Amino acid sequence: MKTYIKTMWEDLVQNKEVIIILSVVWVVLFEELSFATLFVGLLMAVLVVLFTDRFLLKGNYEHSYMIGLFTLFKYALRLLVEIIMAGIDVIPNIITGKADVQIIQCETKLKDELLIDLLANSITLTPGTVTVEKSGSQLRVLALNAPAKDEDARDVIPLKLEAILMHYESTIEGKA
Amino acid sequence: MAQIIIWIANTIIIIGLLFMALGVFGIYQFNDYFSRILVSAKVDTVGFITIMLGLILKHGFDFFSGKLLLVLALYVITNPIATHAITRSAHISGYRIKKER
Amino acid sequence: MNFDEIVLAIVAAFSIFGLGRVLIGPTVWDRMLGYALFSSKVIVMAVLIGIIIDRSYMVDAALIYGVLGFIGTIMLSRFIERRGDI
Repeated sequence: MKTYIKTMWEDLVQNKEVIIILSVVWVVLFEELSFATLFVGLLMAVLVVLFTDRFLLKGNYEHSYMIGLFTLFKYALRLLVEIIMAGIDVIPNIITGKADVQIIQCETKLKDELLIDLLANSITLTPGTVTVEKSGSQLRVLALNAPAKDEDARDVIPLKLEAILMHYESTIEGKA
Repeated sequence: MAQIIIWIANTIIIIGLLFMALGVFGIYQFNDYFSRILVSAKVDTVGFITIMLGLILKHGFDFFSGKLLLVLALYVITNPIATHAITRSAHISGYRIKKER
Repeated sequence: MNFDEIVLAIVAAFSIFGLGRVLIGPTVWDRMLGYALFSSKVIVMAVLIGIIIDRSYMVDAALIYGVLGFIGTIMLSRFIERRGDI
């Protein structure tokens, strides 16, 4: 019994950022900041985290998805800048009506599965590139104005976003 | 001061409307499915994000803005999955383009 | 006419053009692309109506429209990819 409570407490400590995000969402949906809503929100977030860890997951994945609020904020700002710059780049193609579309095979330097998925979704969200298929760290990207055969195929990946994720991946490998 | 913030927010909303108009114009401009989804649908997403940011800036720091931010976060998470699903369905079902490497 | 009402009218006109691609699209995926475009326009319209009548429950309706559009697109693409077997 005592060890059971201890493992539950360790789960809660490892997932503290998820609990903070869920409580903020609860309070925002109620549109009222008082003691009752904050208390019920915290209770619901703790129950959701315990239920998910106990019944829905088959192992401990905390080390792979604890990205951290500061890294996530920096990533979101950088992603917004990349999206708007790429959107401005695409405008001449729309007005003239000419498009040169092809499918390119390229490879990222990331190893973790969740981070590769995050990068693939970011590639899809920027105008001009759509990820078609992924296996391991090989991505097939449908690209507009693609680099020629003698140039580097990694130009279609937004390299600054990959640099942020690689910096994060080096920190978790040292810890786990 | 409040008037200046409202003018800036209106300018941002008009820029977003321009992006959205380019997306809707580009969907009739091309005659190939892959060009359409590459150019026009994604520019439409840029317009959506810009309009939402303008509305958040116009409304100020409030619970209403928090809800708008929640809608924006949900859209940014779910939109690439939907686009990827459509494109993968077309690719698996045998829609091909000329150049591939 | 207010600024928000003008923006609402323009976005409604864009949504009609998005539905036109659903009508005339040569392949199935063109129609699904028009559907995804229309669902994003519907979210913007719900938020703008909520700002004009000054009630905040319309944003919850916008949230639900977003979830419904996402599920619709995913189920349609799975249906086509597996040729009728979900």
